[in-house]
Amino acid sequence: MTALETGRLIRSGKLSVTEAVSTALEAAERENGRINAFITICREKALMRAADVQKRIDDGTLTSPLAGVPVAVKDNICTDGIRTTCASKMLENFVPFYSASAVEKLERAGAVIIGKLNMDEFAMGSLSETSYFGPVHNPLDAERSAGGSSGGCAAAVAAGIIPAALGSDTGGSVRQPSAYCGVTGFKPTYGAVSRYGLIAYASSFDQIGPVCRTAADCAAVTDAVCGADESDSTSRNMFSSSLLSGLTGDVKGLRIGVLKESLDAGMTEAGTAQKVLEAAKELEKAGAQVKEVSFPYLKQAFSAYYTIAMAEASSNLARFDGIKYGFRAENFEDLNDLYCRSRSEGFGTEVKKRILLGTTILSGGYYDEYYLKAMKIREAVRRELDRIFTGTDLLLTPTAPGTAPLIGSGASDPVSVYCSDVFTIFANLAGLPSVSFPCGTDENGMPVGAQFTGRAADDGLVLNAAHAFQIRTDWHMLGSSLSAYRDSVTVQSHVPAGGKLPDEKRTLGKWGEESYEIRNSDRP
Amino acid sequence: MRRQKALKYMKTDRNTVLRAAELSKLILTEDETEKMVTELGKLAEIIGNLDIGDISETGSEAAQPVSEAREDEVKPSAERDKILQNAPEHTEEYFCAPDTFDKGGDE
Repeated sequence: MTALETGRLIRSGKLSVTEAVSTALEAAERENGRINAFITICREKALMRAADVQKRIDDGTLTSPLAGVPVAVKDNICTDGIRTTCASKMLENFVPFYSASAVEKLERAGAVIIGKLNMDEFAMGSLSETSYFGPVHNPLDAERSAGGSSGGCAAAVAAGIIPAALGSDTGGSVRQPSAYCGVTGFKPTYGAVSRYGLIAYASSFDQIGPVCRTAADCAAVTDAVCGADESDSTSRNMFSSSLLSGLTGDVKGLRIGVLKESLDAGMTEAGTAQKVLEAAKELEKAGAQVKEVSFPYLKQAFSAYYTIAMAEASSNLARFDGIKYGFRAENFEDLNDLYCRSRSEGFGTEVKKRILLGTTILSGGYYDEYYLKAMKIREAVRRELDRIFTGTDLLLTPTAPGTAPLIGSGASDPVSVYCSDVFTIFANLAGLPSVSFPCGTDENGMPVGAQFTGRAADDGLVLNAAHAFQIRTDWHMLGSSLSAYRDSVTVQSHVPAGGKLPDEKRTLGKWGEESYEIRNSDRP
Repeated sequence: MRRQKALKYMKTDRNTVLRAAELSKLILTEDETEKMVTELGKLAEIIGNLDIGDISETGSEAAQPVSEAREDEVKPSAERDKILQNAPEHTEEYFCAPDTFDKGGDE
């Protein structure tokens, strides 16, 4: 069930907030042994809050489309009074005394947080395997990775535990796991959502974004959490109207540029490329103009991204010293030894690796050659994308070169793991909005993700294109039979072969038939 | 088009790794050091593709996110006991850390 459907049932009185939250909690507790999506499940807090939210819905003070909807939050986003570990031994016992601005806003909209989601340690990874709490498993095939770093977000939504999660995207960390798990993940324009309370990895790229089953849900969550925040000077009011209200599904005349380098045989698996092309054809049938475009700087953008990200990581993680918060080593000789031992025992291998390389990049002899040059390439990439966007409205690529790999397969070839971000990072380099949405499956039945990227602040256009695809196909409901509500209600399987409904009829409801159309009551 | 000079190849030998560890306040075991030499070598290859043609005239400042200034207002800060609650060791008022300077005085 989607977040909007859940909210609608709650507002109509057919489902109580406590029922929705209890069902999600039970599913989280039941499924976590299989997929390890949650680091912390906060049953008592969630149930207490559910009762409070129900009261405010009943007395008419809470009318948001997300009122009463159970959600969860990636464990690098601070939550007041709820442990926030960043999936690291370093912060294993860290309990923030404030919430991230995005969390405050999500709660103000009436969403109920049921737990904190597993991820790569400090968001450094692409398979959610570097977590101190163990890897996240893909709910569609538990032997496969859920992707990363927001693997817990994508797995929990794909498993039907929650309809929406807040993740973070530094180089594709919302979009790539969404692609691997068959759900929809959105990275808003840099600055659209405050980063206050997001534990920093690479601050000039980091962006909070939603993982949901549909683009419409992503729009609703982004509506709830976006906007200027005085605690993050890079945040701003970017949208003049609600993103959800702007979802018409109309793509007539929309110019979609298929990035030809992203479909090259040497770059992307053939099955993945084929599904992305089929998605383009679907939108062409709906009236979009599809053409091929070239962006020759993919590889340079990739190198520049990792250079800058590791440099920023080495600076950002200098704050973990065993004094003010976080892990402190038990045995040390003096202050310097305390710093060194606390950091060495508190950080995992991948984090240390990135700190070491980032420190080298920023050290004498390499700063100009690497960091400064990468920053110039970042600007050159931004200008080239500006040029491309004069002739096209959206770029279409695969989200990742392939589908979810087997857990552990990256250990023998770490470079290939980094390369899974090759199509996502340019949106972070240039701060652009980008959405991943499921567009098919591979020969193993694992989801293929396609990705739209647009101009800065064109978040509505990006989401509307994905929405247009989703009202014409049903790939976004892949795995919906895994819904948390499956025991209490009848879930109709509505993903026929080919992923399309024969007669445009959509029966998503469990409490009676529901249309997929966004209803006026959902519009804020 | 004038090309940039070839990238200075990043050394990822044992000395580089140990120097970076010292600067990063990390202690590596012998095994970790060897592993890092290999792993950082692979990462150096990933970041080594920084040739994009002539970018000598391209600035780097514009690539940074734009920050907006706000009015400078005095507001209450977080409560001290809340700040201290996550500290590994603290008194009622302060974080506790080992001595920064030797108390032994002048020799």
